[in-house]
Amino acid sequence: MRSIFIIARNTVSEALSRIVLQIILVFALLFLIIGFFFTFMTPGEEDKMLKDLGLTAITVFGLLLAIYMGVSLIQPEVERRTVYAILAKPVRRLEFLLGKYCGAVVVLALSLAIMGVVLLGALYLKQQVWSPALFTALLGTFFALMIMTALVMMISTFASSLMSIVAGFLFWSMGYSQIYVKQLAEHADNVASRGVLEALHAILPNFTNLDIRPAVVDGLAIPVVLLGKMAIYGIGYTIVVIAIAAILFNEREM
Amino acid sequence: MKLASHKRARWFIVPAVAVLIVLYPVQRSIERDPHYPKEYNQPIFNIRDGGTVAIMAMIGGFRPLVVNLLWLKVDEYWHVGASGWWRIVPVLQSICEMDPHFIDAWSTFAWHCAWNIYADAADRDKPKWVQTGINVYKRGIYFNPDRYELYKDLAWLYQDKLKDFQSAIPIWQEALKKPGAPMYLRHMLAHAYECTWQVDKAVATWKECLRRDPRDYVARSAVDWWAEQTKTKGQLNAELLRILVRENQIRKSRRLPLAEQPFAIK
Repeated sequence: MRSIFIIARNTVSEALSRIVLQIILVFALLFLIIGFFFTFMTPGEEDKMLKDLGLTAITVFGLLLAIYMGVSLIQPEVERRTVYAILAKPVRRLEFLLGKYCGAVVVLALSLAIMGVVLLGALYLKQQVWSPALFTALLGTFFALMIMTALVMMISTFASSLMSIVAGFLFWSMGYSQIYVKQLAEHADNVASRGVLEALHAILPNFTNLDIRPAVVDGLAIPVVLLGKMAIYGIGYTIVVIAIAAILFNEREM
Repeated sequence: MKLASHKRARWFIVPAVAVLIVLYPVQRSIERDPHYPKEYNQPIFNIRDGGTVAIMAMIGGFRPLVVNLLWLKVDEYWHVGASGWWRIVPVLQSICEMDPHFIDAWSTFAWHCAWNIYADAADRDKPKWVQTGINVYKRGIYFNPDRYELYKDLAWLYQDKLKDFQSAIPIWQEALKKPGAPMYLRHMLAHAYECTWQVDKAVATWKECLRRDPRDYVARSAVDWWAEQTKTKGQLNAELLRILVRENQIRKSRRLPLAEQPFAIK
């Protein structure tokens, strides 16, 4: 447990000092602020546009962060051979992986919180609107990005960085295409294709179920029970992916 | 570096997939949760005027962004003039499908059909567009039953466009039950009562307005006026009835069966 904490802490401090992460964050904040100059295009709907644009920007930059973090957890350590020094100590591979992942999630949460606070502040300054409910939407985004980081990390345990990045974007698109997979399964002609599509629907991550941004922007209340189910799904899926990642990482010859 | 043994790894992956299948009920539970805003996550196969970029954005999880871009497109088409009016219709329909709680979009869509397209359409098509406007309002109300705005707009369509005051009355009443309904809606209800010659109810409504806001000079003058007019009620009665009959004829001539609407919004 202690080793997981130490690795996580090192991952956080290492990530925060990385120039790429800082650039992504600065761009995200700039984008959030620049978006506020475009409200003249939607007279009467400034609040909605600002919230939509802000949450979308946070999701896009959050996705970039999640993919970047996922890729940079394992592969660079292996390439730089620093992983050997760590694993030579009494640290199991699973602990190493968990520590790395926990660190990445902390960085992700911090980044989302910073962007969320900037969005809230900018909304307040521009429109005199105080909408802390937007953090509920960010919670859904956080669960989705948690899964994404785990998936990219899992791929990077056996594939190159480039392949991990491509796979990351593919997973994201597939996760948002789940509504179409479900629709296709419901209208499938034969049992076999229906079975395959149902299995895909069950196994692939479902990000549409975690996306409550438009509902929150429109002022709909999201009950705690639903948020709880989303948390169970997000955390449960992450545990499964990390378990697979641990197996693959264990099986690697190093 | 390579994987040491794919065969061994496979034995670990099998239970992992089994756990994934266990998570499936959680997924289903979210989808079936009565509070889950599933209307935002309906598959959109017929997105109009958004092109490939819009479709890519949809599957990338950026539906709100697409909605805002299409909303800007509406503004662009609006400024083209009458030729752009027709192009606005499918774009607004897409926006409403993608963001069913976007009140302004429903309101603009219905108003655009019932007023603007109505004005530009051929005479034989005009009633269809009014009916489309009504259907759009009703569809919007279905998704937003707790908002007064669409009730207000629908009641106004019946009252102003169709002169169907009788149909407008229950809609004004419904609008008044919603949170945040402004005072002038009660005025509109009183006007509708007057136009259907339900003077007692009209006066009671005006008095209710006064009870809620004693400084309401519109309600004050109406109450005073009716108190004065009750002396000559017989003459006024006949005159208003004549107007009412004429307005009812206009209304009936514009009414259409639902099946004749120009495109499907059920």
